[in-house]
Amino acid sequence: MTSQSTSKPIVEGTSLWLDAWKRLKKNRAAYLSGIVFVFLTCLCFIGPFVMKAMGFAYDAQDIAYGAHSPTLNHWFGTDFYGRDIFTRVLVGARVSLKIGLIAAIVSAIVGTIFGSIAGYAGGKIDNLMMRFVDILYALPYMFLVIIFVTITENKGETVLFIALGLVGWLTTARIVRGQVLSLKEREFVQAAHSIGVPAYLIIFRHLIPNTLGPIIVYFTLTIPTMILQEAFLSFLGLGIQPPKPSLGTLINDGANHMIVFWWELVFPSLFMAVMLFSLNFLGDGLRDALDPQMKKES
Amino acid sequence: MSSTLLQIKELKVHFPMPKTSLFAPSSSAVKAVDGVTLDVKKGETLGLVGESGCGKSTLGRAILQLIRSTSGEVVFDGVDLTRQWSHRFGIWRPKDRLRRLRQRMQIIFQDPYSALNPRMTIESIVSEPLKTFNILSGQALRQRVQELMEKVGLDPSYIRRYPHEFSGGQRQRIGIARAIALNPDFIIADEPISALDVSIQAQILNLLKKLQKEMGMTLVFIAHDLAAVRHISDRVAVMYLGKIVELGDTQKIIYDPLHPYTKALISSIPVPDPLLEKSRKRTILEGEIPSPIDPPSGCAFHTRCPIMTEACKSNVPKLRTISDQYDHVVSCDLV
Amino acid sequence: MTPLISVKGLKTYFRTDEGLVKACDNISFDVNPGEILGVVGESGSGKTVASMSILRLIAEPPGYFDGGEIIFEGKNLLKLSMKEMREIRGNKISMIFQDPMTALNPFLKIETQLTEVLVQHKSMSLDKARAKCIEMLKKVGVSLPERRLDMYPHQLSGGLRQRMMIAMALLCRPSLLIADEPTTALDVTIQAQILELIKSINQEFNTSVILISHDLGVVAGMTNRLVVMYAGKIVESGLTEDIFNKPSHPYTKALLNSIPRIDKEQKQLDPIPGLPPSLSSIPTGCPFHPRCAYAVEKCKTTYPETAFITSDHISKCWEVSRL
Repeated sequence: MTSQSTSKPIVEGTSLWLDAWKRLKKNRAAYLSGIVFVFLTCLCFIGPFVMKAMGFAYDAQDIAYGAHSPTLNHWFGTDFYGRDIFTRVLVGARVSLKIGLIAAIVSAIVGTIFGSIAGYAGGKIDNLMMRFVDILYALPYMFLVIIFVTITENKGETVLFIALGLVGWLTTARIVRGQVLSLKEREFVQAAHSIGVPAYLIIFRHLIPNTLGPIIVYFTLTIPTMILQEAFLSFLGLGIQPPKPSLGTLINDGANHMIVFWWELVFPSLFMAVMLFSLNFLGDGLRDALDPQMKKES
Repeated sequence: MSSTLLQIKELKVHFPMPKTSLFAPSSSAVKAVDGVTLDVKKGETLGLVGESGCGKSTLGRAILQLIRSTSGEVVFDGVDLTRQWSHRFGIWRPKDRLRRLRQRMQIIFQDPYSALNPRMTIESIVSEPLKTFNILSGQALRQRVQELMEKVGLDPSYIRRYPHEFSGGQRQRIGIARAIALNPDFIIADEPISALDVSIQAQILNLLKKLQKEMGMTLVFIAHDLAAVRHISDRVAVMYLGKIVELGDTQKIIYDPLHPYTKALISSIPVPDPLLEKSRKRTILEGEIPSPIDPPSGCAFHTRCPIMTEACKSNVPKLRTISDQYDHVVSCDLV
Repeated sequence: MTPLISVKGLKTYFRTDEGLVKACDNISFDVNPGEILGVVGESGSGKTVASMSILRLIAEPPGYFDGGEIIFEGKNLLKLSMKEMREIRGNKISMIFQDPMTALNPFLKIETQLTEVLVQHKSMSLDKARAKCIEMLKKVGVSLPERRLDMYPHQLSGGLRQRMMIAMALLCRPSLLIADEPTTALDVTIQAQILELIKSINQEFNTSVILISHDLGVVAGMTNRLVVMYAGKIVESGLTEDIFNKPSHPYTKALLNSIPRIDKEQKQLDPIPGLPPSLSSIPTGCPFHPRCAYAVEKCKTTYPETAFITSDHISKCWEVSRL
């Protein structure tokens, strides 16, 4: 019985993910952006430690030295307190990235689970869950954040997570619900029903993997939005508090002194622009890589 | 041989239509299946034919209770499946007993592209039913999957591949392998060949016929193509607008159809023979198939029937037995 | 008899990521005035591309014509400018499609879509065009034509939509109607109606028809002559009756043996083994050889020469004598 079935070596197939990856690699702009993004991320997370070891801590002041334009020692120059801007940009970008990534991941997970349950359950439950989403959408969140911050007298990363997380998952939930609504009519889901697969497995094995394409694309495009929002909130003084830098506070400070100390504005802004560009290109590339397959499947 | 495996009694599946406005008096419903009574015998192949919108696919799914029926009974081996549902938090969920019974009844779908999860390998697709019921695991599971693949005529070394790497006909074979994995007693094949290329259709028909014989399964073969149904079925049921209009032995239905709709259906099917085509007398039905939301009064077929009388507009015909020998029943008062 | 349209050595190729796709590879056929020509083949056999090539509806790029000519009224259609082609499309040659829903604009009333053809090609006034449309709708068996004109496509059933498409195609009294799987999306009883309609149009207006189908039953009753396509090539052509009585290509023969029939008792169907090839990887030699029961060594390497069964019944097979 076994002789025939095991005689031939098993052929490994190409999954749709592998296909998408191959297509992404062909897309030069997206692939390069991916590399740039990974490089910047590594730089942000490792760089500050190296700089600290070399004597450039982000909060180390040297008031006597003061603001100075870029030199070989201080690549991006120093600020009014003599702090090295390169280190501050790295640390600030790390804070921004952390907030952007965590907020995007949290909102992707919460949104996916919420949306898939609503879409799968359908009927009254779906209605109830999605109206809840609508209500959250309708609230002016900036207003909420301001109230929240004033009440708790708590500023910094936690508030930002809550504020950004509050709105981030709503769109994901809507996207996923829409996808699930159409997917659950597909015959492979009915086939799973017909062999008695329990509901949670249908959601996690059959529905969610097939919505991951749009989720990933939305995810990569959420990170820059989150970073921008963070910068905006910090700019308003509601986010990260000094001396801790974030890209938003750095740019805010830079904008105040830009006529005299141009480098304080230019370098953080450039860094942020490069990061956002690479993320957007990557997101676009991912969409192109994942989308044609979506069409082929149906 | 002639013991009954499945009894369907007055089965109705109505899909409520969303109200057109807030003040609409009452919402209407699509009467997809509207009172079907049917027995399926152990080991037979029953063909179910009808045009699009006649409710044949809905009937197939309602038999397996993949769709909850509105009323009526589906008795499978002594158990009324329509009662195996529990209602909690506003959702209907199948009871455990129904889930377990699903090991014994399976379905093959029409569209081989949408019937397989594109993110899963063939191995996980075919093994899913076996895993769900904890029947096999590990090496034994893989071996069983490879056996199944050989059985449906696929190269077992392809188990790690993904559905998009196969053609339509091969995908249909994968769907069949999944359906027979649990050695079911009963399979519903819902238009299994209509999405395939002409030269592939015969392969799948022959495969189904072979498996049915080998495994002693009971098969309900749903199709709009009466020629294919004729080839595979022992008995044929003809549906029109949610109701069975004629049922009987295949030979009887093909050579001696009684219901005017069956007659028209048979004469509409083109025959690959130019001489015969030229000499054939066609009954061409006029008009379109009425909407199942608002089916005609009386006999639902009266709007297109060539032999319609005034009485047909008001009297709803009942299924009458014409011949016991051929199980021939027809629902037309003029026969 | 001079043919109405004559396709000679047509080569329609596509450049794709998977390589060169020879969707039509050296296709030749004629359509005589007043006849119905059938083109049969499975999906991917190139039958639709052949008909789209006649109307130059091929997207260029990725498609291009590598050779051949299509002679219609003394002109080579492949050499005409797009402006000259627009004069012919819908006017002298019309086409109806498998899915009438996608061929009709869902946002426009039927009236707008129908009268547009006449206003465009015949410079008619709207009132006159409307009257002409109503007349045509009556001819194609649409009841209550005045009311239907005010409707949108989604308000019509599949059969009615196909009738609308046919009416639209016939408004300018074309000399050639190309029907690409016109009944595949329809139910059998509706299919019978539409086929009957196409036949009566052919007789009443003397319009030539190219009927493309995968269904041998449909072409058997409808057509005078038949072209059988496989993998982008014509494998057999001739009078419909000759081909059905004496199929002279293994593919045609196997296809006829593999389809279930309503009129005959069949103990066993003989399916064609294997799969139809993808157009981007057509087998060498005769493209049918991997699935052919009659294949010999020669078939794997060399494309068959034309074998004449009668003067106009031809087959592309080395082993015709053994069939």
